Amino acid sequence: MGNIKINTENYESFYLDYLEGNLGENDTIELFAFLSDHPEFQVEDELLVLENEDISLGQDFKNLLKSDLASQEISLNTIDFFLIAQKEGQLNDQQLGALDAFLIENPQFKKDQKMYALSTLNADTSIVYADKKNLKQRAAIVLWPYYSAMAAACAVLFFWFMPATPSGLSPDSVAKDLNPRVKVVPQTQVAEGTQVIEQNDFSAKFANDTEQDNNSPRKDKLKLEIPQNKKLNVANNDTPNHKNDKPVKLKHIDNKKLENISIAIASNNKENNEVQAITAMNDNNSLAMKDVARPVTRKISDIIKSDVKMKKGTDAKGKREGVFLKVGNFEFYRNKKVKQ
Amino acid sequence: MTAKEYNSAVDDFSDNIFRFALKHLKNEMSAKDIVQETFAKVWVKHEDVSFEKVKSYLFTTAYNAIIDFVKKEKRSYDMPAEDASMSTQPETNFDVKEIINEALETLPEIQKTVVLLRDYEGYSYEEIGKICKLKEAQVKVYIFRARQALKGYLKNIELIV
Repeated sequence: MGNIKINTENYESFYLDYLEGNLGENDTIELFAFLSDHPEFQVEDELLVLENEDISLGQDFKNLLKSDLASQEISLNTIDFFLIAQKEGQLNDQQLGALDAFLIENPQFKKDQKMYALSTLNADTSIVYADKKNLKQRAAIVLWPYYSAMAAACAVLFFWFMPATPSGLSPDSVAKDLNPRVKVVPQTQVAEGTQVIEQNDFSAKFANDTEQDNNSPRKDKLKLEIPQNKKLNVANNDTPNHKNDKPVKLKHIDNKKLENISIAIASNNKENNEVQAITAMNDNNSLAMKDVARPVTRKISDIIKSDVKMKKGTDAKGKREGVFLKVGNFEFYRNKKVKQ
Repeated sequence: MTAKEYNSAVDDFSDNIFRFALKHLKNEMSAKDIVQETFAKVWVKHEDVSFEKVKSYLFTTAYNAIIDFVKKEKRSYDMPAEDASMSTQPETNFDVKEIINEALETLPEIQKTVVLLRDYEGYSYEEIGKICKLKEAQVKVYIFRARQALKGYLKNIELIV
């Protein structure tokens, strides 16, 4: 550090350099001279040098520490060592016996033995660190398992409720909105005398009526829109052109127009199970099924204050088999197997 | 070590670290600072420290923090005043536990440290050596010297009484 004089303002930097072994010889002499003049600035050696410290113990004591205790004899010079070793649990049974014998011969050391026994420090357990809460850390929240679970749940729900009709209209919505007398049945099951609307002859589609009154049934607000040249009593078509088959598209149903007529919409697709399901869902009593998740559905019913049932089995006619879910006025059907 | 294990270590060892620091620094606020600093450092390294070794790691960190703190305080010559409860005169207090605590204050820092680790925490000489970066023989010497000093202090008090 050159010719800078060490004083109370700058001695710390000299001291640190000395402790790190970077202080030159002349500066070291200067530092020690300063510390001798100002002993209050001297840091205790034991705080500074913890390693390789030469502890000034008696030579006998040092030898005892380094040597095997078993080879040592208890004497007036070594009794302290053995008493401490006893307190530290370092003596074996043989050495303990020898120590007891020595203390019987030299009872004046029993007091020292007692003092060493008392020198044990006991922690005051009433002293506690009160602010543990602030020391604790929150674990990082890994979100990807939750996202994965949500995605899986959405996928399952989508699969469950996925509309099965080609038009995008699910059977339950059709069943809900159609006039009760309007039945969508396979063409082969059309009863004699029933007015039939061929699927190919008109295009109709359900649409929400934005002005509908919430207190009125939705079906009263729907209108059946039929082209002028295609009346309801259309001619039977015994040989439907399947190439031109199009899905049923009901746009509006005017309930008043349908009051006095019985209508059947003949489906060209005889295997359209979802359409068949409509009649099944509208007549629950005909199903020979059992509630497969009664505790769950009952719990959900209590929560949403609406009737919830999940049934599994075969309907009364034995033609349909699958899972039926009813939530309030809505019913869903998932076909599992159709018996021919 | 997971966050859960770290929090468990806080519950298990923060009191011990606090008492250890308080015995050295004799100042509650400083001891709290040491505890906070210790656990903050351990949290930074928690992924590298196994739960089985966290106690030793905590005491090592706390010991180093105490040494740094004492050095800093000594240099700045601004040691806080001792708590009144810790500065009572030995002649007026004959409770053995109190006398031992007073005797402890007369020991050099390193002797105090090894004795505290030995008596409070039950560490072996080897474990104390690892915490304080000492050889096992050195730990043994410090403990033996500390025991002699404590015994001497007790003996003197008894003579006074």
